[in-house]
Amino acid sequence: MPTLDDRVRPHSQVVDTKLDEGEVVLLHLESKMYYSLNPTGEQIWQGLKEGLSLREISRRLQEEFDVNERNADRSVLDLINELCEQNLALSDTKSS
Amino acid sequence: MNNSPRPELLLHCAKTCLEAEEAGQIKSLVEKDIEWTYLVETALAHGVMPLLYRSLHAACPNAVPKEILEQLRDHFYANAARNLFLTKELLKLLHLLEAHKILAIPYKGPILAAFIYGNLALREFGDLDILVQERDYQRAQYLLIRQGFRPTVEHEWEAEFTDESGRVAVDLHRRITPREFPSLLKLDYLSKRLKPVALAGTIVATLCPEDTLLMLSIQVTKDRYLQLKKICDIAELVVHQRLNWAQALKEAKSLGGQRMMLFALCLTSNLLGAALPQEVVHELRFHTSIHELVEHAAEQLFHRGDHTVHDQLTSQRFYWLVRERLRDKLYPYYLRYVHDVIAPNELDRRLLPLPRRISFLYYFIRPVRLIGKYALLLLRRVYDFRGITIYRHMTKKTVVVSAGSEHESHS
Repeated sequence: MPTLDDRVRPHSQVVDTKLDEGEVVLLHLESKMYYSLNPTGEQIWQGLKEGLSLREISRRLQEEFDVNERNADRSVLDLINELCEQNLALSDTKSS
Repeated sequence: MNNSPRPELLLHCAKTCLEAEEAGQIKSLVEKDIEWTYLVETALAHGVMPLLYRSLHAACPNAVPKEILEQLRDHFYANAARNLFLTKELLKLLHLLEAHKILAIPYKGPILAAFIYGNLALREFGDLDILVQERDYQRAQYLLIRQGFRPTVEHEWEAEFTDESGRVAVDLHRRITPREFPSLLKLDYLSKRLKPVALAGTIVATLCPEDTLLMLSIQVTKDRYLQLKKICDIAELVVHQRLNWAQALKEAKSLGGQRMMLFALCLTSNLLGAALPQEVVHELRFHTSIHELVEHAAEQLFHRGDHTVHDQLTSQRFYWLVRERLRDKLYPYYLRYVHDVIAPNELDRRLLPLPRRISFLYYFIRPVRLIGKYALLLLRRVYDFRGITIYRHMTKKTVVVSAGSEHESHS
Protein backbone atom coordinates (compact mmCIF):
# COMPACT_ATOMS: atom_id res chain seq x y z
CA MET A 1 0.00 0.00 0.00
CA PRO A 2 1.58 3.36 -0.97
CA THR A 3 2.45 5.95 1.69
CA LEU A 4 2.44 9.73 1.45
CA ASP A 5 6.15 9.80 0.61
CA ASP A 6 5.76 7.47 -2.34
CA ARG A 7 5.52 8.46 -5.95
CA VAL A 8 2.80 6.80 -7.94
CA ARG A 9 2.56 7.17 -11.69
CA PRO A 10 -0.31 6.63 -14.13
CA HIS A 11 -0.24 3.29 -15.93
CA SER A 12 1.20 3.70 -19.43
CA GLN A 13 -1.94 2.14 -20.95
CA VAL A 14 -4.27 4.67 -19.36
CA VAL A 15 -5.43 7.71 -21.30
CA ASP A 16 -7.64 10.51 -20.08
CA THR A 17 -9.85 13.32 -21.31
CA LYS A 18 -11.10 16.24 -19.28
CA LEU A 19 -14.79 16.98 -19.09
CA ASP A 20 -16.59 20.05 -17.86
CA GLU A 21 -16.41 21.24 -14.27
CA GLY A 22 -13.07 19.60 -13.63
CA GLU A 23 -14.15 16.02 -14.15
CA VAL A 24 -11.98 13.56 -16.05
CA VAL A 25 -12.61 10.23 -17.77
CA LEU A 26 -9.86 7.59 -17.59
CA LEU A 27 -9.75 4.75 -20.08
CA HIS A 28 -7.57 1.67 -19.69
CA LEU A 29 -6.63 0.76 -23.25
CA GLU A 30 -5.99 -2.92 -22.46
CA SER A 31 -9.06 -3.71 -20.37
CA LYS A 32 -11.23 -1.17 -22.28
CA MET A 33 -12.76 -0.15 -18.95
CA TYR A 34 -13.38 3.46 -18.18
CA TYR A 35 -13.72 5.42 -14.95
CA SER A 36 -14.68 8.95 -14.11
CA LEU A 37 -13.09 11.14 -11.47
CA ASN A 38 -14.71 14.15 -9.83
CA PRO A 39 -12.80 17.48 -9.55
CA THR A 40 -10.90 16.36 -6.42
CA GLY A 41 -9.98 13.09 -8.10
CA GLU A 42 -8.95 15.02 -11.19
CA GLN A 43 -6.56 17.15 -9.10
CA ILE A 44 -4.98 14.02 -7.67
CA TRP A 45 -4.69 12.42 -11.10
CA GLN A 46 -3.13 15.60 -12.49
CA GLY A 47 -0.57 15.51 -9.66
CA LEU A 48 0.34 11.93 -10.57
CA LYS A 49 0.82 12.95 -14.18
CA GLU A 50 3.12 15.76 -13.08
CA GLY A 51 5.20 13.31 -11.02
CA LEU A 52 4.42 14.84 -7.61
CA SER A 53 4.70 12.79 -4.43
CA LEU A 54 1.46 11.94 -2.66
CA ARG A 55 2.31 14.40 0.12
CA GLU A 56 2.77 17.18 -2.45
CA ILE A 57 -0.56 16.29 -4.01
CA SER A 58 -2.24 16.41 -0.61
CA ARG A 59 -0.72 19.82 0.07
CA ARG A 60 -2.06 21.07 -3.25
CA LEU A 61 -5.54 19.81 -2.35
CA GLN A 62 -5.41 21.71 0.94
CA GLU A 63 -4.58 24.90 -0.95
CA GLU A 64 -7.30 24.39 -3.58
CA PHE A 65 -10.15 23.08 -1.44
CA ASP A 66 -11.43 23.83 2.04
CA VAL A 67 -10.05 20.65 3.58
CA ASN A 68 -7.76 19.97 6.56
CA GLU A 69 -4.50 18.02 6.29
CA ARG A 70 -5.87 14.80 7.76
CA ASN A 71 -8.83 14.61 5.39
CA ALA A 72 -6.73 15.60 2.39
CA ASP A 73 -4.14 12.89 3.17
CA ARG A 74 -6.87 10.30 3.59
CA SER A 75 -8.59 11.32 0.32
CA VAL A 76 -5.34 11.05 -1.58
CA LEU A 77 -4.42 7.65 -0.14
CA ASP A 78 -7.95 6.27 -0.62
CA LEU A 79 -8.06 7.24 -4.28
CA ILE A 80 -4.49 6.10 -4.95
CA ASN A 81 -5.29 2.69 -3.49
CA GLU A 82 -8.34 2.42 -5.73
CA LEU A 83 -6.37 3.53 -8.79
CA CYS A 84 -3.65 0.94 -8.05
CA GLU A 85 -6.25 -1.78 -7.44
CA GLN A 86 -7.83 -1.06 -10.82
CA ASN A 87 -4.39 -1.05 -12.46
CA LEU A 88 -4.79 2.59 -13.46
CA ALA A 89 -1.68 3.67 -11.54
CA LEU A 90 1.52 2.00 -10.39
CA SER A 91 3.53 2.66 -7.25
CA ASP A 92 7.21 3.23 -8.00
CA THR A 93 8.10 1.71 -4.63
CA LYS A 94 6.18 -1.44 -5.47
CA SER A 95 7.55 -1.81 -8.98
CA SER A 96 11.24 -1.20 -8.12
CA MET B 1 -44.16 9.56 -41.91
CA ASN B 2 -43.48 10.76 -38.40
CA ASN B 3 -45.24 14.04 -37.69
CA SER B 4 -43.65 14.88 -34.37
CA PRO B 5 -43.10 18.58 -33.70
CA ARG B 6 -39.72 20.26 -34.03
CA PRO B 7 -37.91 19.55 -30.75
CA GLU B 8 -37.20 23.12 -29.67
CA LEU B 9 -35.58 22.01 -26.42
CA LEU B 10 -33.08 19.85 -28.30
CA LEU B 11 -32.25 22.70 -30.68
CA HIS B 12 -31.58 25.04 -27.75
CA CYS B 13 -29.37 22.42 -26.09
CA ALA B 14 -27.37 21.50 -29.20
CA LYS B 15 -24.49 23.90 -28.66
CA THR B 16 -21.37 24.10 -26.55
CA CYS B 17 -21.68 27.74 -25.40
CA LEU B 18 -24.85 28.58 -23.54
CA GLU B 19 -25.56 32.26 -23.00
CA ALA B 20 -27.61 33.19 -19.91
CA GLU B 21 -30.62 33.92 -22.11
CA GLU B 22 -30.39 30.52 -23.78
CA ALA B 23 -30.05 28.76 -20.42
CA GLY B 24 -33.21 30.59 -19.29
CA GLN B 25 -35.08 29.42 -22.40
CA ILE B 26 -33.99 25.83 -21.75
CA LYS B 27 -35.21 26.09 -18.19
CA SER B 28 -38.60 27.43 -19.19
CA LEU B 29 -38.99 24.75 -21.90
CA VAL B 30 -38.13 21.99 -19.41
CA GLU B 31 -40.83 23.26 -17.09
CA LYS B 32 -43.40 22.61 -19.84
CA ASP B 33 -44.74 19.18 -20.65
CA ILE B 34 -41.70 17.50 -22.23
CA GLU B 35 -41.89 14.08 -23.87
CA TRP B 36 -38.59 12.90 -22.44
CA THR B 37 -38.50 9.57 -24.27
CA TYR B 38 -39.01 11.29 -27.61
CA LEU B 39 -36.37 13.87 -26.73
CA VAL B 40 -33.75 11.25 -25.83
CA GLU B 41 -34.57 9.10 -28.87
CA THR B 42 -34.27 12.12 -31.15
CA ALA B 43 -30.98 13.20 -29.56
CA LEU B 44 -29.67 9.67 -29.99
CA ALA B 45 -30.74 9.49 -33.64
CA HIS B 46 -29.18 12.88 -34.33
CA GLY B 47 -25.90 12.22 -32.48
CA VAL B 48 -26.27 15.07 -30.01
CA MET B 49 -26.64 13.24 -26.70
CA PRO B 50 -23.46 14.77 -25.19
CA LEU B 51 -24.65 18.30 -25.95
CA LEU B 52 -28.13 17.57 -24.59
CA TYR B 53 -26.69 16.27 -21.31
CA ARG B 54 -24.21 19.10 -20.98
CA SER B 55 -26.77 21.85 -21.59
CA LEU B 56 -29.45 20.35 -19.35
CA HIS B 57 -26.90 19.72 -16.62
CA ALA B 58 -25.67 23.30 -16.87
CA ALA B 59 -29.05 25.03 -17.19
CA CYS B 60 -31.44 23.16 -14.90
CA PRO B 61 -30.25 19.78 -13.57
CA ASN B 62 -32.93 19.69 -10.86
CA ALA B 63 -35.79 20.21 -13.29
CA VAL B 64 -34.90 17.12 -15.36
CA PRO B 65 -36.28 13.74 -14.22
CA LYS B 66 -33.54 11.98 -12.29
CA GLU B 67 -33.57 8.78 -14.39
CA ILE B 68 -33.33 10.80 -17.64
CA LEU B 69 -30.38 12.83 -16.37
CA GLU B 70 -28.65 9.61 -15.24
CA GLN B 71 -29.27 8.01 -18.62
CA LEU B 72 -27.79 11.03 -20.38
CA ARG B 73 -24.88 11.14 -17.96
CA ASP B 74 -24.02 7.46 -18.49
CA HIS B 75 -24.07 7.99 -22.23
CA PHE B 76 -21.92 11.10 -21.83
CA TYR B 77 -19.16 9.24 -19.97
CA ALA B 78 -19.32 6.21 -22.24
CA ASN B 79 -19.06 8.45 -25.29
CA ALA B 80 -16.06 10.27 -23.79
CA ALA B 81 -14.28 6.97 -23.13
CA ARG B 82 -15.11 5.61 -26.57
CA ASN B 83 -13.91 8.80 -28.27
CA LEU B 84 -10.69 8.61 -26.28
CA PHE B 85 -10.19 5.02 -27.37
CA LEU B 86 -10.90 5.79 -31.04
CA THR B 87 -8.61 8.83 -30.94
CA LYS B 88 -5.73 6.71 -29.70
CA GLU B 89 -6.47 4.21 -32.48
CA LEU B 90 -6.45 7.04 -35.01
CA LEU B 91 -3.07 8.25 -33.76
CA LYS B 92 -1.70 4.71 -34.04
CA LEU B 93 -2.86 4.48 -37.65
CA LEU B 94 -1.42 7.89 -38.49
CA HIS B 95 1.94 6.79 -37.06
CA LEU B 96 1.77 3.61 -39.10
CA LEU B 97 1.07 5.48 -42.33
CA GLU B 98 3.71 8.07 -41.53
CA ALA B 99 6.26 5.31 -40.92
CA HIS B 100 5.55 4.13 -44.47
CA LYS B 101 5.92 7.67 -45.81
CA ILE B 102 2.24 8.03 -46.63
CA LEU B 103 0.81 11.50 -46.20
CA ALA B 104 -2.45 10.92 -44.34
CA ILE B 105 -4.85 13.60 -43.17
CA PRO B 106 -7.44 12.83 -40.50
CA TYR B 107 -10.68 14.78 -40.62
CA LYS B 108 -14.21 14.59 -39.15
CA GLY B 109 -14.63 12.42 -36.00
CA PRO B 110 -12.01 13.13 -33.33
CA ILE B 111 -10.61 16.07 -35.28
CA LEU B 112 -13.91 17.93 -35.24
CA ALA B 113 -14.40 17.13 -31.55
CA ALA B 114 -10.96 18.48 -30.62
CA PHE B 115 -10.65 21.25 -33.20
CA ILE B 116 -14.17 22.69 -33.27
CA TYR B 117 -15.88 21.59 -30.05
CA GLY B 118 -12.70 21.97 -28.00
CA ASN B 119 -13.40 18.73 -26.11
CA LEU B 120 -13.30 15.11 -27.25
CA ALA B 121 -16.32 14.29 -25.10
CA LEU B 122 -18.76 16.67 -26.76
CA ARG B 123 -19.21 15.11 -30.18
CA GLU B 124 -20.32 11.61 -31.14
CA PHE B 125 -18.56 9.76 -33.91
CA GLY B 126 -18.57 6.20 -35.15
CA ASP B 127 -15.59 5.89 -37.47
CA LEU B 128 -12.23 7.36 -38.30
CA ASP B 129 -11.86 9.21 -41.60
CA ILE B 130 -8.43 9.38 -43.16
CA LEU B 131 -7.60 10.98 -46.49
CA VAL B 132 -4.57 9.84 -48.49
CA GLN B 133 -3.21 10.69 -51.91
CA GLU B 134 -4.49 8.74 -54.90
CA ARG B 135 -1.06 7.21 -55.45
CA ASP B 136 -0.92 5.88 -51.84
CA TYR B 137 -4.50 4.61 -51.71
CA GLN B 138 -3.80 0.95 -52.52
CA ARG B 139 -0.73 0.82 -50.29
CA ALA B 140 -2.65 2.35 -47.36
CA GLN B 141 -5.39 -0.27 -47.81
CA TYR B 142 -2.77 -2.99 -47.77
CA LEU B 143 -1.26 -1.60 -44.55
CA LEU B 144 -4.67 -1.54 -42.87
CA ILE B 145 -5.31 -5.15 -43.88
CA ARG B 146 -1.88 -6.13 -42.57
CA GLN B 147 -2.85 -4.49 -39.25
CA GLY B 148 -5.83 -6.83 -39.00
CA PHE B 149 -8.49 -4.57 -40.54
CA ARG B 150 -11.11 -6.20 -42.73
CA PRO B 151 -12.53 -4.39 -45.78
CA THR B 152 -16.30 -4.11 -45.48
CA VAL B 153 -17.60 -1.74 -48.17
CA GLU B 154 -15.83 -0.10 -51.10
CA HIS B 155 -17.03 3.00 -52.93
CA GLU B 156 -15.23 4.74 -55.75
CA TRP B 157 -14.02 7.49 -53.38
CA GLU B 158 -13.42 5.52 -50.14
CA ALA B 159 -12.98 2.06 -48.67
CA GLU B 160 -14.44 1.10 -45.29
CA PHE B 161 -12.63 -1.19 -42.86
CA THR B 162 -13.36 -2.71 -39.45
CA ASP B 163 -10.80 -4.13 -37.06
CA GLU B 164 -10.96 -7.68 -35.72
CA SER B 165 -12.73 -6.65 -32.52
CA GLY B 166 -15.38 -4.71 -34.44
CA ARG B 167 -14.68 -1.68 -32.27
CA VAL B 168 -12.75 0.42 -34.77
CA ALA B 169 -14.21 1.41 -38.14
CA VAL B 170 -12.00 3.29 -40.58
CA ASP B 171 -13.05 5.10 -43.75
CA LEU B 172 -9.98 5.41 -45.95
CA HIS B 173 -10.54 8.10 -48.58
CA ARG B 174 -8.80 8.93 -51.79
CA ARG B 175 -11.31 11.74 -52.19
CA ILE B 176 -13.52 13.37 -49.60
CA THR B 177 -16.68 13.04 -51.66
CA PRO B 178 -18.26 10.91 -54.39
CA ARG B 179 -17.54 11.93 -57.97
CA GLU B 180 -20.67 14.05 -58.33
CA PHE B 181 -19.30 16.51 -55.76
CA PRO B 182 -16.34 18.90 -56.19
CA SER B 183 -13.72 16.74 -57.82
CA LEU B 184 -10.79 18.79 -56.63
CA LEU B 185 -11.31 17.83 -53.00
CA LYS B 186 -8.27 15.58 -53.09
CA LEU B 187 -5.31 15.69 -50.80
CA ASP B 188 -3.03 17.23 -53.45
CA TYR B 189 -5.34 20.24 -53.52
CA LEU B 190 -6.11 20.46 -49.80
CA SER B 191 -2.57 19.83 -48.54
CA LYS B 192 -1.45 23.31 -49.57
CA ARG B 193 -3.19 24.84 -46.57
CA LEU B 194 -3.41 22.27 -43.80
CA LYS B 195 -3.69 23.39 -40.20
CA PRO B 196 -1.95 21.79 -37.18
CA VAL B 197 -4.27 20.85 -34.30
CA ALA B 198 -3.65 19.25 -30.90
CA LEU B 199 -5.22 15.82 -30.60
CA ALA B 200 -4.82 13.92 -27.32
CA GLY B 201 -1.40 15.43 -26.72
CA THR B 202 -0.19 15.01 -30.31
CA ILE B 203 -0.06 17.60 -33.08
CA VAL B 204 -1.65 16.46 -36.32
CA ALA B 205 -2.35 18.30 -39.56
CA THR B 206 -5.92 18.59 -40.77
CA LEU B 207 -8.04 20.69 -43.13
CA CYS B 208 -7.96 24.44 -42.56
CA PRO B 209 -11.21 26.04 -41.28
CA GLU B 210 -12.28 27.18 -44.76
CA ASP B 211 -11.85 23.71 -46.26
CA THR B 212 -13.49 22.17 -43.20
CA LEU B 213 -16.50 24.42 -43.80
CA LEU B 214 -16.73 23.31 -47.43
CA MET B 215 -16.36 19.65 -46.44
CA LEU B 216 -19.07 19.99 -43.77
CA SER B 217 -21.35 21.86 -46.18
CA ILE B 218 -21.07 19.03 -48.68
CA GLN B 219 -21.84 16.51 -45.92
CA VAL B 220 -24.95 18.44 -44.94
CA THR B 221 -26.08 18.64 -48.57
CA LYS B 222 -25.34 15.10 -49.67
CA ASP B 223 -26.73 13.14 -46.73
CA ARG B 224 -30.15 11.80 -47.45
CA TYR B 225 -30.81 11.39 -43.74
CA LEU B 226 -29.24 14.42 -42.21
CA GLN B 227 -28.25 14.41 -38.54
CA LEU B 228 -28.47 17.51 -36.37
CA LYS B 229 -24.90 16.72 -35.27
CA LYS B 230 -23.61 17.81 -38.69
CA ILE B 231 -25.39 21.12 -38.44
CA CYS B 232 -23.92 21.57 -34.96
CA ASP B 233 -20.47 21.02 -36.52
CA ILE B 234 -20.99 24.02 -38.76
CA ALA B 235 -22.41 26.17 -35.94
CA GLU B 236 -19.44 25.35 -33.69
CA LEU B 237 -16.97 25.99 -36.51
CA VAL B 238 -18.48 29.40 -37.20
CA VAL B 239 -18.51 30.33 -33.50
CA HIS B 240 -15.07 29.03 -32.51
CA GLN B 241 -12.86 29.49 -35.57
CA ARG B 242 -11.83 32.65 -37.30
CA LEU B 243 -12.65 32.09 -40.94
CA ASN B 244 -11.55 34.08 -43.93
CA TRP B 245 -15.06 34.31 -45.35
CA ALA B 246 -14.09 35.94 -48.64
CA GLN B 247 -11.59 33.14 -49.27
CA ALA B 248 -14.03 30.41 -48.16
CA LEU B 249 -16.76 31.65 -50.52
CA LYS B 250 -14.32 32.18 -53.40
CA GLU B 251 -12.78 28.71 -53.08
CA ALA B 252 -16.21 27.13 -52.81
CA LYS B 253 -17.35 28.97 -55.93
CA SER B 254 -14.30 27.86 -57.91
CA LEU B 255 -15.16 24.25 -57.01
CA GLY B 256 -18.86 24.64 -57.75
CA GLY B 257 -19.77 24.32 -54.09
CA GLN B 258 -20.74 27.84 -53.08
CA ARG B 259 -24.49 27.25 -53.10
CA MET B 260 -23.98 24.15 -50.93
CA MET B 261 -21.98 26.26 -48.50
CA LEU B 262 -24.64 28.99 -48.43
CA PHE B 263 -27.35 26.37 -47.98
CA ALA B 264 -25.52 24.72 -45.06
CA LEU B 265 -24.84 28.05 -43.34
CA CYS B 266 -28.39 29.26 -43.82
CA LEU B 267 -29.77 25.97 -42.45
CA THR B 268 -27.47 26.27 -39.43
CA SER B 269 -28.73 29.76 -38.79
CA ASN B 270 -32.36 28.67 -39.19
CA LEU B 271 -32.08 25.75 -36.75
CA LEU B 272 -29.47 26.85 -34.23
CA GLY B 273 -29.61 30.62 -34.51
CA ALA B 274 -25.97 30.93 -35.62
CA ALA B 275 -25.18 34.49 -36.71
CA LEU B 276 -24.13 34.72 -40.36
CA PRO B 277 -21.27 37.02 -41.36
CA GLN B 278 -21.89 39.98 -43.63
CA GLU B 279 -20.18 38.33 -46.62
CA VAL B 280 -22.57 35.38 -46.46
CA VAL B 281 -25.64 37.59 -45.99
CA HIS B 282 -24.54 39.62 -49.02
CA GLU B 283 -24.03 36.53 -51.17
CA LEU B 284 -27.39 35.08 -50.16
CA ARG B 285 -29.12 38.02 -51.86
CA PHE B 286 -28.11 36.49 -55.20
CA HIS B 287 -29.35 33.01 -54.26
CA THR B 288 -32.88 33.57 -53.02
CA SER B 289 -34.04 30.03 -53.88
CA ILE B 290 -31.77 28.73 -51.10
CA HIS B 291 -34.24 29.96 -48.50
CA GLU B 292 -36.89 27.62 -49.92
CA LEU B 293 -34.45 24.69 -49.69
CA VAL B 294 -33.56 25.62 -46.13
CA GLU B 295 -37.21 25.76 -45.09
CA HIS B 296 -37.76 22.35 -46.64
CA ALA B 297 -34.64 20.80 -45.05
CA ALA B 298 -35.45 22.24 -41.62
CA GLU B 299 -38.94 20.80 -41.93
CA GLN B 300 -37.63 17.40 -43.05
CA LEU B 301 -34.87 17.09 -40.46
CA PHE B 302 -37.09 15.59 -37.79
CA HIS B 303 -39.59 13.97 -40.22
CA ARG B 304 -37.85 11.09 -41.90
CA GLY B 305 -39.70 10.03 -45.04
CA ASP B 306 -39.48 6.63 -46.69
CA HIS B 307 -38.26 5.90 -50.20
CA THR B 308 -41.42 6.95 -52.01
CA VAL B 309 -41.51 8.32 -55.54
CA HIS B 310 -42.52 11.67 -54.15
CA ASP B 311 -39.49 11.67 -51.91
CA GLN B 312 -37.19 10.82 -54.82
CA LEU B 313 -38.63 13.61 -56.94
CA THR B 314 -38.15 16.04 -54.09
CA SER B 315 -34.53 15.13 -53.74
CA GLN B 316 -33.97 15.49 -57.53
CA ARG B 317 -35.38 18.98 -57.37
CA PHE B 318 -33.31 19.67 -54.28
CA TYR B 319 -30.07 18.74 -56.09
CA TRP B 320 -31.07 20.76 -59.11
CA LEU B 321 -31.49 23.86 -56.96
CA VAL B 322 -28.55 23.38 -54.60
CA ARG B 323 -25.93 22.89 -57.32
CA GLU B 324 -24.76 25.88 -59.34
CA ARG B 325 -23.07 24.50 -62.49
CA LEU B 326 -25.20 22.87 -65.17
CA ARG B 327 -22.98 19.78 -65.32
CA ASP B 328 -23.32 19.33 -61.55
CA LYS B 329 -27.08 19.73 -61.75
CA LEU B 330 -27.27 17.10 -64.48
CA TYR B 331 -24.65 14.62 -63.34
CA PRO B 332 -26.07 13.00 -60.17
CA TYR B 333 -29.42 12.08 -61.69
CA TYR B 334 -28.98 12.01 -65.44
CA LEU B 335 -25.44 11.99 -66.82
CA ARG B 336 -24.31 9.56 -64.15
CA TYR B 337 -26.68 6.90 -65.47
CA VAL B 338 -25.62 7.61 -69.06
CA HIS B 339 -22.00 7.32 -67.93
CA ASP B 340 -22.74 4.05 -66.13
CA VAL B 341 -24.29 2.58 -69.30
CA ILE B 342 -21.51 3.71 -71.67
CA ALA B 343 -18.33 3.38 -69.61
CA PRO B 344 -16.69 -0.09 -69.64
CA ASN B 345 -16.43 -1.78 -66.26
CA GLU B 346 -14.69 -4.74 -64.62
CA LEU B 347 -17.08 -7.28 -66.19
CA ASP B 348 -16.16 -6.08 -69.69
CA ARG B 349 -12.47 -6.33 -68.84
CA ARG B 350 -12.93 -9.79 -67.39
CA LEU B 351 -14.81 -11.00 -70.46
CA LEU B 352 -11.92 -10.15 -72.76
CA PRO B 353 -8.63 -8.98 -71.23
CA LEU B 354 -7.02 -6.49 -73.64
CA PRO B 355 -3.66 -4.71 -73.57
CA ARG B 356 -3.87 -1.12 -72.40
CA ARG B 357 -3.02 0.39 -75.79
CA ILE B 358 -6.16 -1.07 -77.40
CA SER B 359 -8.40 -0.73 -74.34
CA PHE B 360 -10.58 1.76 -76.28
CA LEU B 361 -12.11 -1.37 -77.89
CA TYR B 362 -14.01 -1.95 -74.64
CA TYR B 363 -16.35 0.83 -75.75
CA PHE B 364 -17.39 -1.44 -78.63
CA ILE B 365 -17.31 -4.67 -76.63
CA ARG B 366 -19.55 -3.29 -73.90
CA PRO B 367 -22.68 -2.67 -76.04
CA VAL B 368 -22.29 -6.17 -77.55
CA ARG B 369 -22.01 -7.70 -74.06
CA LEU B 370 -25.01 -5.75 -72.78
CA ILE B 371 -27.16 -6.67 -75.79
CA GLY B 372 -26.18 -10.33 -75.28
CA LYS B 373 -26.92 -10.13 -71.56
CA TYR B 374 -30.35 -8.57 -71.92
CA ALA B 375 -31.29 -10.82 -74.85
CA LEU B 376 -30.45 -13.82 -72.65
CA LEU B 377 -32.53 -12.42 -69.82
CA LEU B 378 -35.44 -11.91 -72.19
CA LEU B 379 -35.17 -15.46 -73.50
CA ARG B 380 -35.11 -16.86 -69.98
CA ARG B 381 -38.15 -14.83 -69.05
CA VAL B 382 -40.03 -16.19 -72.07
CA TYR B 383 -39.09 -19.83 -71.47
CA ASP B 384 -38.93 -19.93 -67.71
CA PHE B 385 -42.28 -19.06 -66.19
CA ARG B 386 -40.80 -19.06 -62.74
CA GLY B 387 -38.89 -15.91 -63.68
CA ILE B 388 -35.60 -14.86 -62.25
CA THR B 389 -34.96 -13.59 -58.79
CA ILE B 390 -32.05 -11.29 -58.38
CA TYR B 391 -30.64 -11.21 -54.91
CA ARG B 392 -28.86 -8.02 -54.18
CA HIS B 393 -26.22 -8.73 -51.62
CA MET B 394 -25.52 -5.86 -49.30
CA THR B 395 -22.80 -5.57 -46.70
CA LYS B 396 -23.72 -3.69 -43.61
CA LYS B 397 -21.08 -2.08 -41.49
CA THR B 398 -21.32 -3.05 -37.84
CA VAL B 399 -19.76 -0.90 -35.19
CA VAL B 400 -19.71 -1.92 -31.57
CA VAL B 401 -20.87 1.11 -29.67
CA SER B 402 -19.40 0.57 -26.25
CA ALA B 403 -15.67 0.82 -25.63
CA GLY B 404 -15.87 0.10 -21.92
CA SER B 405 -18.04 -2.01 -19.76
CA GLU B 406 -17.46 -0.69 -16.31
CA HIS B 407 -18.03 2.76 -14.99
CA GLU B 408 -16.99 3.83 -11.54
CA SER B 409 -17.14 7.22 -9.98
CA HIS B 410 -14.97 8.53 -7.23
CA SER B 411 -16.65 11.02 -4.97
